[in-house]
Amino acid sequence: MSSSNKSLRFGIGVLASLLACFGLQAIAFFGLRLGTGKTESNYFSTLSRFQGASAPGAEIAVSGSSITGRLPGREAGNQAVANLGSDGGSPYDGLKLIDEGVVSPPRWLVLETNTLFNGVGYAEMPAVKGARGLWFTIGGRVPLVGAAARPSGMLYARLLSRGWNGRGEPFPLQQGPRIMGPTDPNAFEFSSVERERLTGLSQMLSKIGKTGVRILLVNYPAGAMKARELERMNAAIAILSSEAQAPYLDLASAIPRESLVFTDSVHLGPTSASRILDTIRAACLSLETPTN
Amino acid sequence: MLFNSWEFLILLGISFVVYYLPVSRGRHGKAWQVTVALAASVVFYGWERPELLALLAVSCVGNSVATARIILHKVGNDEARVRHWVRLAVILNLALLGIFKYSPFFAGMIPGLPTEWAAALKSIPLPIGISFYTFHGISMIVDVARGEVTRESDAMVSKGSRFTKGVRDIGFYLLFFPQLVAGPIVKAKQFWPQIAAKRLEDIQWGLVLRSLIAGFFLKMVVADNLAEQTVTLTKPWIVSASPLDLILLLYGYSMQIFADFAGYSLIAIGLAAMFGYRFPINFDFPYLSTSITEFWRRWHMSLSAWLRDYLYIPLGGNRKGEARTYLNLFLVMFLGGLWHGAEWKFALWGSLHGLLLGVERFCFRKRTREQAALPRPAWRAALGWFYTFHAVTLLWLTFLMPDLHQIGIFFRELMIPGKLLGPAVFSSLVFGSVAVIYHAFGWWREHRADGFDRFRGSWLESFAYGIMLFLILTNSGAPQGFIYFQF
Repeated sequence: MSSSNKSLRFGIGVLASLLACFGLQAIAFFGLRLGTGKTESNYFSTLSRFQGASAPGAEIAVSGSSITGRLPGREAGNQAVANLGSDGGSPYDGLKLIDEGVVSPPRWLVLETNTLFNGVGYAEMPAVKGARGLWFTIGGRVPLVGAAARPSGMLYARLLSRGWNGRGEPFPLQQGPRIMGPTDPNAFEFSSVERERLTGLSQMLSKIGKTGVRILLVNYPAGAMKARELERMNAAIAILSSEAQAPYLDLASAIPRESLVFTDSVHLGPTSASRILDTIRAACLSLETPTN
Repeated sequence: MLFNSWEFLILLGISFVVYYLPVSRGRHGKAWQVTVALAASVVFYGWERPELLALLAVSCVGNSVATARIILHKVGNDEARVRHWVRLAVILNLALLGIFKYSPFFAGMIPGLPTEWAAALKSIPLPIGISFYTFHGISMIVDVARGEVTRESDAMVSKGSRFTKGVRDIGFYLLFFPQLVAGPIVKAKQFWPQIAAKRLEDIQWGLVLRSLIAGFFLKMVVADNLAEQTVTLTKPWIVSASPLDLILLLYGYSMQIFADFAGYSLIAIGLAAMFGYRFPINFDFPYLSTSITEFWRRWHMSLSAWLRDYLYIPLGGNRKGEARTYLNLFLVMFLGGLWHGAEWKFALWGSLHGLLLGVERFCFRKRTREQAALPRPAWRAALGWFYTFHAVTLLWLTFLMPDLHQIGIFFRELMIPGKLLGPAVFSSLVFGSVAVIYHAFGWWREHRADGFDRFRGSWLESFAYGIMLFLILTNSGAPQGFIYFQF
């Protein structure tokens, strides 16, 4: 066989094998619904959520860190919820993507308050950079090359046996969301980078709020905070809530920790995450319903 | 510009098409193609920091002038002047390397150096690929002086009439983008004879496809996925890892650095083949080695060959007695370590390899060549492999870790039980095992040649490459730079 014929045969074999692999992946992704937003990679877990969130029409977008990342969004088959959880990041990341138009604005934007100051003073998260790239856009349109369809991610999620099984039951709340503040802006001494982050958040919330998006601040049940961190978070919530006229919901105080299941000391298990999300949806609905 | 970036794919596409335009078949085909490849290389190198092109130009023109003078004096049989120009050119290359790579290192070691001077020296940026193109320059100068490369351009340069053509060809050799920033270190005597007009129909597409698919697969799927996890070893949160995590991450890093650099080298080989050039292989399944001596014959082979030809042999090699041989071995590995990076940790890494090479040489000093060539019992080969792989892997710690303190933390944490980190274990096992399978193929090729020959060119082989291509498209890791770019 001549050299060019050998090359041709090799090329045809490669192509056939490639198509067969895509076929198997399509069965796993579309048929067995193994697509996932929780992979072995923080980068791709985050990207898969961002990709899911990039399509318009979400009822709720939840923006935060990996704590938010555990809530079942579109990447897990829950079409009403765009999850902007950034593993190792903060709510600032998702907010920035909405602000830049990478992610379409939802009806409700839920901002995680636990990690408002994660990564202050550091470079931008790689996943946020990745979300501006061409591969992200292609993955958003061709699901098989999207982050949620990575074969290793599907295998990892399968090994963890985590998935979304439809809606859970919302937790009953003694107190609903309410607008906080205003408070003395000097009540807490923020560092310059923290102040910068706070100003950035406030400006973006105001801008997004003007487009008709309603904003809810949520403190999730997660690991215990150090005294200064707690003080800083409360001061920031008061400022953001009053400036953006955004109601605040403290789920960490409202839901007893023993009624929740965590996979580690910080992150919620699938069932608890599902119930938390439904509690948030119920809170949003209650805010939309006019009260007498 | 990275090989795994969109900009590069566009540059590659454009330069490939222009390179093989019909004009390349005419009288000036070689000039056209060399100029196109040179222009593409300039864009490739200067894409992010165009100011670094000035340094590359100094290296290129300086080496060209020296080469021209050496050829001229060789023609005139004036060996003293040849040696003079060789010295000058080697000094120029080492000076560039010294100023831009080692100034910050030495600045911290000179006692009494004014603070402002030290700060100024430490602020000198490290130009990407400088270690590689200076080694290319030295190789060219020495090969020309030894009379190992003679070509049409040499004659032209020697007459002094068409110096620009000489500079162009020398620039092409030094700058050709597949090898520019991280090798393989192709010697002038390997590259120069290949400079000629190339035809599209002569491209060995089988070699191109195999090299590019395997290279991108090793880099983007294996190395980049492992990199996201192995970084834990260098960070403060190493303390959250259990002993098993740490061991798996260290194995993972061992596979990552192999996949990263071997992947780069394969991509370079594939790209060069697209433009009609053959590069030597740079990695020959190094983790199959059964001794450190063998490891250095299989790992970064072009560097090992360079160090042997241009450092070890000129130092006297093994021709000046036993004691001097050990000293030469150690010195070469010490300098080879420092070549990787201007930090003591790299010198330590090289020195430890040098020490192991010395120990192996001492242990087998009475073995004749014939004895060494005899097949060893399987248990001895297995034992040798176990020692080599683990010694190499353990020594990567000095390569990877930011400082000795972090290495101390690694060993301390090995003693403290903890909860397993799922992603670290998963990635090390899944992606690390791919590199193991890759080496298993290497073992098969070496020990069951008949079976491997049947596999080569079969449908099964093309299916394997198809799977790799699929995983490149769907399962690449977060984009990372090549580890060896920093050297």
